[in-house]
Amino acid sequence: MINYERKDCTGCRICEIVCSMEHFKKIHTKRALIKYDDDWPRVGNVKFCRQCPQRACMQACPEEALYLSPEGVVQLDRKRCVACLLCSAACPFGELPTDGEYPLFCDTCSGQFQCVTWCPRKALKRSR
Amino acid sequence: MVKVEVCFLAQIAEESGVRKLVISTANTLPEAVSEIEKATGFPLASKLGSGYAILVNGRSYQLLQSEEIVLHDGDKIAIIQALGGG
Amino acid sequence: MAKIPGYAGFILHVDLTEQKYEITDLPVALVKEYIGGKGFAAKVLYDELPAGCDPLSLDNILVVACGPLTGTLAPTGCRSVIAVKSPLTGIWNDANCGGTFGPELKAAGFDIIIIKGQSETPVKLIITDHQVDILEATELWGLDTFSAAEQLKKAHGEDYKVACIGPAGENKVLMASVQAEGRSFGRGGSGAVLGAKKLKAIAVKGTGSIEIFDYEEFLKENREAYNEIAINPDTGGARPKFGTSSIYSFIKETGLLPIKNFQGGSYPGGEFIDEHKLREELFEEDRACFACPIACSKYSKVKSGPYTGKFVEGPEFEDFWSFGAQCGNSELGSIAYAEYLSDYYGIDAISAGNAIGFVMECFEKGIITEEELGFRAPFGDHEAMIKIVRLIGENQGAGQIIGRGVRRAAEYYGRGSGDFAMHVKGLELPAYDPRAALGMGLAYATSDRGACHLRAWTVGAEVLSHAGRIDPLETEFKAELVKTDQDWFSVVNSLGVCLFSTFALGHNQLTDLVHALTGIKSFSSVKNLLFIGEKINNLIRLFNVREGVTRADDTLPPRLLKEAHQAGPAKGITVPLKEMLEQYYLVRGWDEEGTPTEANLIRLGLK
Repeated sequence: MINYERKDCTGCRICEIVCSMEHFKKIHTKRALIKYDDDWPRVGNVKFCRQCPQRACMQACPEEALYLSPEGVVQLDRKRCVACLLCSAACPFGELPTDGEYPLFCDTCSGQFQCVTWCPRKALKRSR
Repeated sequence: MVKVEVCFLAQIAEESGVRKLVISTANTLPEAVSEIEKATGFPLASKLGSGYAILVNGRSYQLLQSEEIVLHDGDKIAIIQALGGG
Repeated sequence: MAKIPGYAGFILHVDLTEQKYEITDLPVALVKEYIGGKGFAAKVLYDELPAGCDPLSLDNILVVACGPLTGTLAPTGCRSVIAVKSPLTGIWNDANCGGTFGPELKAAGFDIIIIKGQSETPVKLIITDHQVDILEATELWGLDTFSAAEQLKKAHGEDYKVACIGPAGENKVLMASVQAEGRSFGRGGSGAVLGAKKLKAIAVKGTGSIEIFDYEEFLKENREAYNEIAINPDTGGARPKFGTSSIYSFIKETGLLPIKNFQGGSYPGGEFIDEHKLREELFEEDRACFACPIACSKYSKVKSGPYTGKFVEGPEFEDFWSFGAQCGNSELGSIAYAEYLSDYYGIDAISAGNAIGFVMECFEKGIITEEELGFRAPFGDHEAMIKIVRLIGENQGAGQIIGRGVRRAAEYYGRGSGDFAMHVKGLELPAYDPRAALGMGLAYATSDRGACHLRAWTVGAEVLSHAGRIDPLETEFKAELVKTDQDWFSVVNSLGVCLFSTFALGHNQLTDLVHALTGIKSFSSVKNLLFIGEKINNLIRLFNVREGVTRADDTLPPRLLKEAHQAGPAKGITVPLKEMLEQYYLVRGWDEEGTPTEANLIRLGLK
């Protein structure tokens, strides 16, 4: 899973940038699967699916829209999802980012974890 | 022998663990560098030229031709690193 | 028209008189000839601004411009520029800002905003991708910059980024700034221009994307650039730790820190003030601009003394000086609070602090009286300092004179104060005393916007004396150093990255980044980019010459030409400007009046 240490975060948003680049081959931070929210006058918070082992989201989903890929990565079936966001409410790490309607789930960049690779302060770290 | 004040500035103070000290040294810069290394354990001589520099009373050691520098009582040596403006 | 990768591809034209807007394509020729940011602004203002116009009239034009690297992965790729004819100096001004405003504007799909005319009543400009609204903003008028931004986000959405003016800009205070998400388009009075246009704020939300020409190459160049920044002892060590004040002790040691309006000497508590103190007593969190791995900004809180509880994003080195040594003040909390108030009212902290130091010297010399001010204002009196910041911000009392800058204040107060009004072309000097590094004297005298340390910063090269060849107290090489810096910095300010990236990244690295992003062949050559930088500087010089700048204005305050320090590394030195200036005109290809020659303009493609 990915850990986020808020005290090491500086709000640089490089995680958003590389996430969007990995998925869309261009810079499109508003479509990233990880979102930084400011909390002025303090450094804010990053919202994203940690791909944690507990998977409270899967238990909370009333539509069985969340499933595990062969690699064990939590994924969303948009066709089943009704955007109720109960998964987001159940997540012990806080809200999930959304695209305005549907929740967004980290897909680990096919195991590349770009946000972790690029975070300059190592506020994002892999753990297992 | 002369008494000179040595200060490590900014980041180097963090690296060396020292901010200020007074040393007794023979009056040449190489001797002073050697004394500073002994007193702090900081490998100053090897760092010079790779982004680290010495100021004697505010003037760069490179300008002063380090072999020719004569130190006096009360001189101030500053250990600095190449930095940018703000 | 196919979009050029790296660019948004559009210009937003706003006419506040007609309350209308128009969107046009970004011309390829403009991109190839001027890169972006500062270059775009120079071309637009040179071509479209009527010469000799009143900067606070509806004739002035305000340009906001991003560079190709703005809003991308490029490290420190966050910057945008606001350019105007300055109401403070009457000449060219471009102010550069970090944070998140530029990237948001780029994502909204605009490289440039050109604002003309004047509204009769207060308005706000709301940009939501290409949906643009000019809306009534009377409810915001009178608000400080923090409250205004908060209200705008409540009204339109938390994900909007806001650039706005405070009471200072509204009252057309000549040193008014534009504040944007905790950062500043600080110098030169662009805030007053927006105030005159009655444009309180620009709020932008962008959900668009930026194309990359060569994805793998761009990624690789970025990886290398990020590594360089991380291992560099400045960008990866001192600056993240101490912020911009990482150089404080160094500047003090070398005699460069101006004390008490450049008089020199010492002040109570001054010997204990340094970057370590700042870190120990004020800093709480590190804060980064968009895409920046350095994170030089700090969120600070005052934990002891009369200003306990006060917050600031900062303090920055320049403000640490302008409200510190410049005012003979060692009360750390007051420095933090003064910088906060500068953000709150929206004023340039460098000009403000410099002007307060000027006032303090005038007070101690009896040129300004307690009656005139309403209170005593000797050096070191931090309460007086805070009072004056407020008066400038509110345009009240003596603030109405002081807020107009030291040049006008010296004209008003008279009695020889002009000799120590520390400005060039009307812009107040920042935190370097050129008598300890002569190149900075030439830099101040020849900077395109008046005394500025961000057009050429020769301090490191001079004081560290690379290879023992450069002596800070000699004039040799200074013309070349200043010209080279000015040309490269104009490139950097056109690319949309922060100048701090250049402490770790070389010319080649930035060139490789912009080439991989845009695919523009001519951007793969450092030589060509420097050529464009030189062209931009010459174009701006033409602009200034058109506004009446002559060789006589490429000068320094009398104090620096006539008075020398009695002690320290700069002992006995006054700035021998004439010989450096002549050498500078020579390497610039300008005549003895400081005007670009015909041959030079032809070579640069400006004729």
